Amino acid sequence: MTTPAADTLESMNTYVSDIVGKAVTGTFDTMFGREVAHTGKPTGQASRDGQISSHVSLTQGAALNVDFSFHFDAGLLHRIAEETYPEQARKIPMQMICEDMACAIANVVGSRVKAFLNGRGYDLSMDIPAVGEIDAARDAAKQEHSSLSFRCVPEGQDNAVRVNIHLQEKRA
Amino acid sequence: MTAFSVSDLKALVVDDHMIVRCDIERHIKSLGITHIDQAANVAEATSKMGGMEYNVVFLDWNMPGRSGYNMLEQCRGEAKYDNTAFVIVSAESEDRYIIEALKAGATSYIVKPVSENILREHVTRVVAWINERMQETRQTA
Repeated sequence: MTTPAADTLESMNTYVSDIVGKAVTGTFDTMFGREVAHTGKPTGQASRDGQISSHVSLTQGAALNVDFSFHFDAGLLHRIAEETYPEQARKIPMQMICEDMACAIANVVGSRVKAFLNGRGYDLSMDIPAVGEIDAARDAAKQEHSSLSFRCVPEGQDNAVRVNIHLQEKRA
Repeated sequence: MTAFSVSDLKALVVDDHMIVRCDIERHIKSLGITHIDQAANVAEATSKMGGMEYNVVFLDWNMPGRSGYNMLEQCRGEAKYDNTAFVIVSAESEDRYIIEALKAGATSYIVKPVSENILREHVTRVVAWINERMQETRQTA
């Protein structure tokens, strides 16, 4: 495919990462009044234990996929849920509330990236965010990956949020 | 006849995400709206609207099953919802969605995530819209 604005996957990855960084911090601030700071790439070995994950994909036909996997520290989401949704936290299983939060964040961040890319001439559509990890098994001709890490500022907790971005371009 | 005010509003919040429904409810409650119901999808919303005359519906665009846009189109085809304000609340920020929603009869459009300040602005707009509609109705009566 020919990418608009003479983008390469590498350059696209750079500005998508920038948008994701801003969107995650902005979403935590607006939705939960919580400060998280983009700290670059994740440090150390990521563990799936104690994490809540969600994912969302942008697609342009069969030509381009932009997949996002979000991994949140479960303790962080629990604390936010208890502070922000105390009534629901008493009535609804905590896991369910946290998964809803994870998908709501994926929805906002994915939509933000879609709007930006479509503004550059793409024609991407977005699926409905889902819980869990994305199936990363792809047969792409060309791929780019990046990972972003966020620190929860009040707790000083590194890797409280991680976002994996996976871009895949299929040539005709 | 006295003007319609924020505290007179009966609101329905429709979103598949529980936390978004709770965020909207919390914010509009602090603005003075006391009657607030929630629905997690279009089917639930339609059922609630059958039993209650809401003045304003906060409606998500993308939901599993029927979309909020689809519900908006259907409601705008029914005279009984002529004086009901529909506020689309969506993560979609592209102009084409906003234009499409307004063409389909949305009263206003909010891009997620929502904040109290943004909701205040749109609730004020909704109250003005309802008052205009009531005035038009009185003049044509």
